[in-house]
Amino acid sequence: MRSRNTKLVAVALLVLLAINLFPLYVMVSVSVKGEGTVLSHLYDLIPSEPTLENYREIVSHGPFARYFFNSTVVVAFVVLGNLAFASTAAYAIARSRRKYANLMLALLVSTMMIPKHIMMIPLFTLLLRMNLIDTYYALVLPFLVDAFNVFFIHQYVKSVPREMEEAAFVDGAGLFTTFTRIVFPALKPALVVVATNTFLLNWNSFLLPFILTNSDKVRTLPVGLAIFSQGEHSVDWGLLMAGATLAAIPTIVAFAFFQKHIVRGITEGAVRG
Amino acid sequence: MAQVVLEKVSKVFDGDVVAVDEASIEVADREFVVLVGPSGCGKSTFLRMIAGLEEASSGTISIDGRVVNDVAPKDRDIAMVFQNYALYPHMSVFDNMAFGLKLRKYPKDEIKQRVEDAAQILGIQELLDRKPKALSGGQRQRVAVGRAIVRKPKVFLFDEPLSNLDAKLRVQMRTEISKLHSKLKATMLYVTHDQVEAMTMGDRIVVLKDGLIQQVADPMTLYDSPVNKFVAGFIGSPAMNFIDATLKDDGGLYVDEGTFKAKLPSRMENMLRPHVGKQITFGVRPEAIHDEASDDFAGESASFKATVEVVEPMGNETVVYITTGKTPLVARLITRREIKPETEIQLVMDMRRVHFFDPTDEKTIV
Repeated sequence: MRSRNTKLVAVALLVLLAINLFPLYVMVSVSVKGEGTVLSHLYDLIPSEPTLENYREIVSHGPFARYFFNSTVVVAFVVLGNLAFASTAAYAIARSRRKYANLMLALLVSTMMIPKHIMMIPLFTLLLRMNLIDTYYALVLPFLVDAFNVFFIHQYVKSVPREMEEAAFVDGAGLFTTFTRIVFPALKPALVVVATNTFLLNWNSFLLPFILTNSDKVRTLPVGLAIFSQGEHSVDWGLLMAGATLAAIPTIVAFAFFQKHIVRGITEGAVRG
Repeated sequence: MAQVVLEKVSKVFDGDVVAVDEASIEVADREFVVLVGPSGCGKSTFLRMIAGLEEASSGTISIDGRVVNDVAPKDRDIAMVFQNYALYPHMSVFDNMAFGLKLRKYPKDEIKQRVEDAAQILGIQELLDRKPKALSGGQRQRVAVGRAIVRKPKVFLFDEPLSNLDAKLRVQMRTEISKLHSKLKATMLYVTHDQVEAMTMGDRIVVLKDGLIQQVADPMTLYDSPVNKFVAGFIGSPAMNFIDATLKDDGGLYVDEGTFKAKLPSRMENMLRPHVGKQITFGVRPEAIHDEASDDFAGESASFKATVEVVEPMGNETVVYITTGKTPLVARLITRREIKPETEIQLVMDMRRVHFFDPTDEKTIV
């Protein structure tokens, strides 16, 4: 009975895996189809004459490297910002004895209910007035701290024994040292989840970076690829998919590296939170 | 090393919850004082105020002659051992112990020397490279104590450090902390809810209830001369028996419990005479009740009959739960005679060791 159940679960998982992997497979498969064969052989799952031409084209001719660099800079600042600001805010709220601390958290969490798209036009207008459109600032500043990250780390801080911090105070540490040397390391599983989620979210973000940039100087990968592969009347799918494949590599690597921490962070948060 | 003085120290939470109420005590240099009381009596708050982890609402706290009310914990020259060890999980045992010294910018050689010395005292030399999660409860507690002793502070504070250990380890660590006290010759304040720890470890014991200090005394004084019914009932295991009776005068004073009467020693008469004709509570410790058949007991005593309910043979003694028909009692009998439940037993009460309490304010009369 048990082995039958296990087999059923295994089959279900394989089906799920196939469904999830299929778009990725199509992406890679289209990326290695030669020019002109993409549309004529659209439904050929195994390309008849695979070629790396699209990759060569995108890396050598387009401003692909620039997009990659922009994405890396923007995402690095956004991730670091979220780690720094979300953890300090979460710690301050979790450890505050003032009655309004919970109210602050509730207000913060309530902002998660506002769809990001509603804020698009006000955000654009604001950045325009600040003369920040088409700069790194426009891509970094609005995303430096995410309410969900504050909430997520807050739940985690609650599970860190307060005595540990008190022991540090008695040992001779001030608030800053206690936070940086005792609390911050204790939050590692939560921080890895926050870093990975923020990375994935921002690395793949399209709409806002698309609106907030006008030139290749600051365009990020998803925006740049979409524009670069767009011909006058058509889309160069092979080129687009080659770019998307390259863009996906860092996210896959990041997940592979931090998979253990991500799963642990999420499950521990679930149990403790 | 240092003296710790608290003068009328109070702690009020949220404007109306009084955790500690005008507590005053002087802890002498090198003294081992145990704070004991039931859960929620304010004993931990008391300690945390000395550590600087809670602010006193009123009163003054001095360490070594200096008022420390507004001094940060790190500048009070104290060390504290917490109930749940509070080790830093990402640091090795060595780093856990060295953390305080590193923050105080001690030279590396001295840090190493001090940590190794402390590790040797506590027998944890082999554990210095391990992380806390690879240690047992007892080992973690040793590291927590080690972290305190490397700093050589003026005052050690222990907040129920043994509560998370199993019974055997608790007894072992108890004696080790006592040994440590005589070795370090330091001032120590120790919080516990366990009256056995309090009795066995403290030079003096502070008994707390509802934020109020009930009595401060050495263990034997506390045991023999409790100031009120609470202290009498809290100290001692099994606890003191309390019997409600009427005080009567029939040429000599005696108490009438309803099912038995007991004549009082003449030395108590003067103190008790104003209560004649009134209800009174008298207390007798379980070991002051003897088995008439086998104990060689002579003296001012009262004989009474009781029904045995539960028998707990401990080997060296037998704890017997009995009832007089009106009052349930516990007796510790030094007897090897077989006592069976649901039988009648003839017992004697040592009246020289009886305590009398005023039923209205529960204070000791004699």
